[in-house]
Amino acid sequence: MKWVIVSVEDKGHKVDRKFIVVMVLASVLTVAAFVVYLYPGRGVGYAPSQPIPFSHKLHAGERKIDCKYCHTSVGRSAHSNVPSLNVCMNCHQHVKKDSPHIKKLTDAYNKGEPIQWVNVYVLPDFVYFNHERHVARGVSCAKCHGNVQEMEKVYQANTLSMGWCVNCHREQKPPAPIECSTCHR
Amino acid sequence: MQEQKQNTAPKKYWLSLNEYKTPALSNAHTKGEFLELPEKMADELGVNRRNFLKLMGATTVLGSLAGCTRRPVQKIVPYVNKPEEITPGVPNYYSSADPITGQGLIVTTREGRPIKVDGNPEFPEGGKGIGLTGQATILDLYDPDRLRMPKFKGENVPWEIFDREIKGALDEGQEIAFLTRTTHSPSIKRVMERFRASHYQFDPLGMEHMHRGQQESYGRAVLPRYRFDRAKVIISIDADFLDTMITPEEFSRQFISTRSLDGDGYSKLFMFESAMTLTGMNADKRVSIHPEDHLHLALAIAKEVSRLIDRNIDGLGESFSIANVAKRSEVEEDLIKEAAQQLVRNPGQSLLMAGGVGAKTEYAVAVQNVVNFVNSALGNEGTVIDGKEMTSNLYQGSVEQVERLVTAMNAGSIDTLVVHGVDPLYDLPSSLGFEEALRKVKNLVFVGTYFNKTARKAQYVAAESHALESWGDVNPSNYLYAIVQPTISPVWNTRSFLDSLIVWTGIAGNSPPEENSYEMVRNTWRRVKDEASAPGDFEDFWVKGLHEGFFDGAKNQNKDRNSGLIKARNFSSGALKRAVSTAGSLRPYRAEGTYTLLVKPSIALRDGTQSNNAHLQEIPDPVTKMTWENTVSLSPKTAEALNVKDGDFVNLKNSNAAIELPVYVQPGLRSDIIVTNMGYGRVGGRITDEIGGSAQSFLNTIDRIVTHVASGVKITPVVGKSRALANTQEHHATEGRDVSFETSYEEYLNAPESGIVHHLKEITNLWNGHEYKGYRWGMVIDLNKCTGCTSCVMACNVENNIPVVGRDEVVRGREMHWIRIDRYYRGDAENPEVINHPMVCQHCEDAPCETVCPVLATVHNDEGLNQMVYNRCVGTRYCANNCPYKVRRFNFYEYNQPMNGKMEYPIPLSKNPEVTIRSRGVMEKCSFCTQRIEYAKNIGKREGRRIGDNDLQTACQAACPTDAIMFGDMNNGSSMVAQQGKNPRSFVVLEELGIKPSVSYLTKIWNRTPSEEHGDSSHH
Repeated sequence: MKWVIVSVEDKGHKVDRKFIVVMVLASVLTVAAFVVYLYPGRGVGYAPSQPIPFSHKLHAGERKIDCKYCHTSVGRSAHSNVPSLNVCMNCHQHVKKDSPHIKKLTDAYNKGEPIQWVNVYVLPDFVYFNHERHVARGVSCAKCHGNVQEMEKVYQANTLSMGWCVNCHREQKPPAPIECSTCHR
Repeated sequence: MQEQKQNTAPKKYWLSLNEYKTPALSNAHTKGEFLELPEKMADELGVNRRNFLKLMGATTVLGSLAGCTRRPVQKIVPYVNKPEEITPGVPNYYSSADPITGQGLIVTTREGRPIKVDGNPEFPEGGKGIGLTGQATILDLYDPDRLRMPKFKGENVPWEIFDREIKGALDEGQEIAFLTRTTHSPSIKRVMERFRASHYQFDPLGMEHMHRGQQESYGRAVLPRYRFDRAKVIISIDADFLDTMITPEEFSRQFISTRSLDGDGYSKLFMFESAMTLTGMNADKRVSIHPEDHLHLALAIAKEVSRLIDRNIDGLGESFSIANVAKRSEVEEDLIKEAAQQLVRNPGQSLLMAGGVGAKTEYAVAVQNVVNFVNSALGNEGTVIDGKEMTSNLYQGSVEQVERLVTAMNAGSIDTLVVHGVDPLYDLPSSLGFEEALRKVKNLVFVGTYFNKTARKAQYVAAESHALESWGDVNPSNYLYAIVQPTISPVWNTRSFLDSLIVWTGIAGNSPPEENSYEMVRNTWRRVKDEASAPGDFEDFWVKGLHEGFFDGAKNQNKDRNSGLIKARNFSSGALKRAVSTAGSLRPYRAEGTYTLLVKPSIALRDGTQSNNAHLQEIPDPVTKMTWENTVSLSPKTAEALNVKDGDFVNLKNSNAAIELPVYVQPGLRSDIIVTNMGYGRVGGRITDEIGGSAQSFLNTIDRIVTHVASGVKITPVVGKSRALANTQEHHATEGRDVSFETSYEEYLNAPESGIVHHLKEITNLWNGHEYKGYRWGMVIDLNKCTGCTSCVMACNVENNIPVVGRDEVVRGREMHWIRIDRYYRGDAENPEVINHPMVCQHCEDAPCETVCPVLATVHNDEGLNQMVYNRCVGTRYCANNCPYKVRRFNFYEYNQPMNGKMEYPIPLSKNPEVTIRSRGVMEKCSFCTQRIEYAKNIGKREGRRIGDNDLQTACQAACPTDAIMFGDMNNGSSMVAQQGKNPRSFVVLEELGIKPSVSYLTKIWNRTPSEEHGDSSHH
């Protein structure tokens, strides 16, 4: 199909140029507004701010703390946990006690109030992902989560779409299961 | 189609009287898959095609906009200090016990909240069966209508204020009395002793007649332990031991064990009953009688037994001859003779049983005496009946105790009455005068979970915690103890009865030796250890008790609970004489133009304590298939005579009471008997407040017995008042196709495959078939072990987050249960035979549902599962239309989240996190508990092995008290299901469709002689 560009002044039809500009601008703004509005959680790059700016780059990258030191249940449960505050306090009762962020952490710990972190990797409720199986098969954390050790602020590194999951399952040798009930219950 | 090949003509079954009268396929319920079609609803709403298209357009636009919502930001809230034993995503299991029934429980918790309760399979009595009420208890825990905090004079107050205010009522100088349900908890008993108080016990389903019969016959009032597993013949006179009597789950397990085809012999159950019960449905011979004839029938059997064993008994005169009793009771002479002969032929291995609550008359004690005489004469006492060693501690309450309490109250000698666990203003017959006597009591303290009738009169209402939130202990049977272990901290600001009592002992001037219920239970456990002289360290003993869930002291006393001889007691002949003299002066029940009403506990609600549980309300009654209300059951003849049909309202009235109820026409009833269920019409919750009428006013107290049989009841139809009943029996009907196969034991011995009718020899298959390399899941349901108790339905509801739809939706045939028990009648409407047939998704290999789904939302997997993918389903409902088993359920509304897409707190806590909450517009059905399969497979992979029968049970299988449901891997030759595949009794339903179901059934075997098989007997 060939695009036909028709001049607004053709065939004697007088159309207000201003009107066209306004319409185009309005359309662009509407689309932009939708994109901005829908941005959180939609796909790659979602990087919400956390109540404490925890740096994976510092902990996992520079200090080389193993992922499983904090995310303890990743190898024995479907869920990988976000560490409870007492795990943070193992080190931070000694390390960088004076930092304002660590003070906030210590405060919360002493008061017994949990920190409400923002979930970055959000799966729909009808998807049942199992961390244990993937870790046991030797799938590296980075395969899904990206190079977390280089992230100052964690962002979503992959689309987490069903196609993305299934393609990877197909590529395995032998292929990983791709039955519906593998993930949907 | 190929030519039909029939070995034998199929038996004719009918689901309901409608189907009985009119041939299948012609009634409203079988015309379409869905009872109410959208087109019809549209017509009613005045929507025509043009409007419909307009609305459709608008919906599309709105729908696409609605799809553009911003995804909510989700928070992750970790623990501050993570408890060591909790791993997110991994369930924990705790042992506990039910404080009322004393049964051992296994509680599944996820992230610190209990989500499923099952029976403890190791528990010495009862085993894994905990019945409908036990399975449903998890929903009571999360009931938003529970009392949330204590009330003083109607006002919610904190505990500190409540305890301060209650001081005056419990102080020294106050005469205190406790009125409770049977309390077998040793800790509660111990703490009660610290109050200088009298303790009265009362059970809404009282067994006082049994206690008194034992007292008169053997000199001690006990509730014996019945051993149905040792009886080859059971003659029951209105003893509904598979329904609600004492411990029905244990009895079911014992009874079914005598109907094993591997052992020698096969038991026989004769049921003489006045209502239609589950026990009667499972009887080899069921005979309708009138409760007035209980005593004469028992005496006639006793007389014939005495004659057969050459024992001369004085006083059993001609009026108890078989001929006279047969004439009086309209029971065939031969049947009474046969019953007596069967008993005599199996001395020490038979049981004559009587005493069901639903048919309790004022001379129930006399009937017990006769029954005890026969059992003693035949040596069943001491073998089948244990009245000495492992006697039951349940149902110790009696109306006699209430009478003493009322007398004391009237005399003004009780200042403070503490009521726990019962609602006396509802439960007690008004003839006792409890309500009037209550006015003489200064302080009424109510401890309970609902704001019921009694609570509304009480100045002090102590909100009680649920058993899953409390420490406690139970002692259901001699030597047997179990710990009630909390699995969640109280959801509301509530306190357990034990904790309240401990706090109040401190108030009453005695400083409590223990600080709280935990300390108290531990100290009790110390005593249990000492009493049994159990060796070893206490801490080990305590941890073992918590881990195993019980302690059976019998072993330490060199007694074996399950085998060994029991010492027989001596029958006192005076008891029989008293029974004979009672029989001489019976009050006549039958009178021209009146009916006899039975107020019977139902299997789902029992006494109605859990009547605010929506899941229990929506369970179809195993007999009537009624949900959400109590009806009055009339025989077809009575209904015809009164010119009423299902749903028409009638007035029931006798000299004491009146009630208006809708009619339900029940096959198998005598025409002079009408039946209704108890437990309805309670107050204290949004569900129970609205449902049914209370028939309690028809209960009476005569001669220290609460009678459940009311005579002289007149029925007057309420002209013009009628409504559709929420009855599921015609829903999902099988349209007269052959579904269930049964045979007799005799025929089975001749040909094990007898009864099965094959319609097609071979079928051409259009499909390529499937290849199953790994696992291949399958289920076998043994109809011979299924009693129809419906526990599986409740277990499935809880496991799979199945929503309640409510009465109106059930009327429209939209109940969501993934498993249903089809109940088929056979024979004539006056006395039909019954077969129960559990029906689940059959996971067909060539499934008709799969081929019609336009979006591949239901597909087959490589392990034989017919998968249902909710997120792909667009709701065409083609699959449900094409399912020959009618097992697919559609979410017409947002059933699970009825409040604008939300659930009321704390209901979300009850949901199983491993199962998707389905929303409006999607289809669902039995998944073979695919979440449990995935969980077990994960463990198998972790441990590098193939999983077997021990790794995996479906929810229904785990709940079945009789192990009728087997599930496993058919590719594993040693699995139960693979073994059963070779069973000659095995058949699949609707084999002629050639769709190869993964569920197979084993035929039902009756112990009937061919002459007893009536109805359609064309197969001979």
